[in-house]
Amino acid sequence: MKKRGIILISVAFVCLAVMLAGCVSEGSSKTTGNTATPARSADVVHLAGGDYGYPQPFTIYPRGPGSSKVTMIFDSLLERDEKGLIPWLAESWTVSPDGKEYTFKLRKNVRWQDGSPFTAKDVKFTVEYEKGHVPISGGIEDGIIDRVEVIDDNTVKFVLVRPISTFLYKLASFKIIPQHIYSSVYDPTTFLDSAAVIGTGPYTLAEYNKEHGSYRFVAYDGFWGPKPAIKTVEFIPVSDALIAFEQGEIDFTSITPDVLDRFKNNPAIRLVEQPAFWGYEFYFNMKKCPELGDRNVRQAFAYAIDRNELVEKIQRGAGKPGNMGILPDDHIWYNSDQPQYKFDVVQARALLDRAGWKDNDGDGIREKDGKKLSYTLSLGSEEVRIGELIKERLKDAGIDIQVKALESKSRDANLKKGDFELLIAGFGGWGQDADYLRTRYSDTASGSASGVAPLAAVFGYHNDNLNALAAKELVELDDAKRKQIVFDMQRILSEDVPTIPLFYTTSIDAWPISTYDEWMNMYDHHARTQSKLSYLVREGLAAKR
Amino acid sequence: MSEKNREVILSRFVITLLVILALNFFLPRMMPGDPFSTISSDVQGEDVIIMTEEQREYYSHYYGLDLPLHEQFVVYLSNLVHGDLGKSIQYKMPVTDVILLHLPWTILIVLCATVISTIAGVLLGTISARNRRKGSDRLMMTGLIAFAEIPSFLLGLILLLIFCVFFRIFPLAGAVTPFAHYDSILDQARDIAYHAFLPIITLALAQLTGVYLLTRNTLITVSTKDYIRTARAKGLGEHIVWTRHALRNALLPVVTRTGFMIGMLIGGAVLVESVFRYPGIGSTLRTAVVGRDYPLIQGILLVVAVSILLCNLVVDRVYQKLDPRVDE
Repeated sequence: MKKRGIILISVAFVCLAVMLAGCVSEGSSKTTGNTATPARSADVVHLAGGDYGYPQPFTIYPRGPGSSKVTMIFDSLLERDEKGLIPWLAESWTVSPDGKEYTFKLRKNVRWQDGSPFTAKDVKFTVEYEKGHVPISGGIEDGIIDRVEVIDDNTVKFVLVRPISTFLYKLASFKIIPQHIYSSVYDPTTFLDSAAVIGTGPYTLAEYNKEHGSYRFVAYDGFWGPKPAIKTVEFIPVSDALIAFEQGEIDFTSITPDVLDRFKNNPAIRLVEQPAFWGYEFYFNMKKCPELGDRNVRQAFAYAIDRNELVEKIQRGAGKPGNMGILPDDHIWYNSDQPQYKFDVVQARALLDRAGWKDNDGDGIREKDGKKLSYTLSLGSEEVRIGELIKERLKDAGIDIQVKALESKSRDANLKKGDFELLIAGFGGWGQDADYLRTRYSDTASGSASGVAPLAAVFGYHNDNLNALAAKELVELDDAKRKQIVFDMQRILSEDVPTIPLFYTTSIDAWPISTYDEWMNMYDHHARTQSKLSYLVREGLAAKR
Repeated sequence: MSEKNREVILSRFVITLLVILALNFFLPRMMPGDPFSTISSDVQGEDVIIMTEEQREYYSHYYGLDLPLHEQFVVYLSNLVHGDLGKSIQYKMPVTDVILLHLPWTILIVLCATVISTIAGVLLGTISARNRRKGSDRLMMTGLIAFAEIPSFLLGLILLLIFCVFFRIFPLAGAVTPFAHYDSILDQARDIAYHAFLPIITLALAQLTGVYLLTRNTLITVSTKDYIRTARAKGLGEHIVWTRHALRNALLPVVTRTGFMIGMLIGGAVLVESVFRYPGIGSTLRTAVVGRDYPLIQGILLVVAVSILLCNLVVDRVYQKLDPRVDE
């Protein structure tokens, strides 16, 4: 009797919750207004906040969009628009024939937000200061810059240790800090003063509250560049971004396909798909399981895993299936001429047969020399469903998988140590400079680049041809030639299948047209609210391309 | 209490504290991973800055994590003696400051919730016990037990949907209006109360059933005792019998429970805090664990442990006041 009462009441509560959820969607469709005129500028724009650290290069948090907040205040020598790199604090530059000397002409009449003039000395200072004090993001690794010479107030020369093709790309996220402030700062990681956030950029930090996770950026009148299009940008804490967006608390959000219908017929809301620059990678540990070093076996995995099914079932369509050439379709240097590995279990079986893996004892799992094709697949607790779908597909090909869910840091630790058989990890940055093909898959890659974990040596992938191309790519300064090398690298990788990119995600960005309609993507990143030019009037050097 | 007894209690306290310190220090460090070797994101679309080997070395050294473990422990203890809890790796500020920023919010909602749930629970429990086996008792019993089955975060979500989304009378998130500047302290207090209301109610509702059941059951047990019969035989009014004689004796376990609950809730408020994006210590602890921010984990756990110990001490004292028979 008592038990039934409990069940009844629980059911009643669930019904209530469902009813309320229904009310939410009803309410939203009512807000549909007239077709609004697109706003090119705005007084205030609200965005979803959260605490990502004090917005200077040394105090932001490594997780989340902290560095884009630094970008609001600080400038780099180059900036990124929708097509590529554009001049920013540097007006122009020349490169010596040997590729080791870059001479930059700096923009004149640029002032720090406290009124002091910006000069070449600040650039030199930043490089030298960050050798002793490593910033969280945007630093340039050791062993690249030999020295920096100040030619005059507006000319600065970088002398490199060796030519490096990605140098300009690195400079685009290298924020220049003021010498007159930071030179006396012994420990920038504890520098939480208001002077710490004085840059040359378009916005000043008017308010930051760590505890509540709110930021207010105000357009800086004396900004040297294109006018800020938004006067005040406020990041406020939200419990649920979608609800906050529907209630008009925030003016931008990213949605998933299951709520798309709520906005689809609303002419006041603009809906645009993000480029697919965030993805899941499936790793083979060839060191621990030498049989995975056989490329036929890895190719069989690629045929047997239905990547389209993952996009449909996991992402409900909001994604693009992975390319074995690694770079996503939306990457500026994506090579479409590569083996496609359509889902084909017959092909997978044939490849495994050819490699000598046969199911002799009839248990559905293939074996060879007494070893069974049976593996543990480690993944994060968020990725269990991906693992289960993959397990089903691989079973059809005669490969046995046990899914092992780990907390994300444990999974990362295992990945770094090589303590896994198969593993799935998800991360961003797939739109970045294609040099990551070198740092990720060449086991002889020198040094490590920020943004990529150099793992090829960990999981045991080795290909001499790829290593040779990678070495060439690193020093090739001619973009057209380098692009050709990157195309060749994708071809090799797609034949070798060192890892399987499962899919790249594409959320849909939504914003009210009448509040602010000028959101844009940088060519290498998926988040529109993280590009500087989204907040600036698109004219002059920031003109649309 | 004799001198000897006091010493025993004190030494027990110190030993407990030392064990806690050691556990706090070593357990977080035994978790896989470290603060600087993140490779993947937790949620889709999230950016994570993957540190280069140089960055990792630089920061390991900066936070003293490159020292052998036992040396780190010695450093930790000696800093602790000087009242220094270390520096948070994630927040780049002293752990003490981080705790001071976030703990008051949790204390605010936990204390208010405990007061509300205790008063309401005792009241309902008394009513229920007095009407034992009647309809109102049955109804309350079933209703509240069913209620207790709802996890606190779900309860929070339901309240959020009803009051913030449907009726729009309470704010969706946070502890204060962002960027608010107040004319007076009263204004500020009003804003804080406005934001704290739903988290407090959620927590209070989540605890209510426990207090209610405890009060009801102890009262029922007590009401069969001889001294209650004596009181009734003396001709005392029913109301006085219940409040002065029965309730007073039934309160002992309730007080104990409340004391324990305060300590537990500081960590247990995390679910409610995350539903309402409330900047309490629970969600800070969660972030610290996810980010392997060892100094911060240690600091928060230490504060929680010490507050539980203190709550126990206080409970002992109150117990003695309520029941003079309890001496030691």
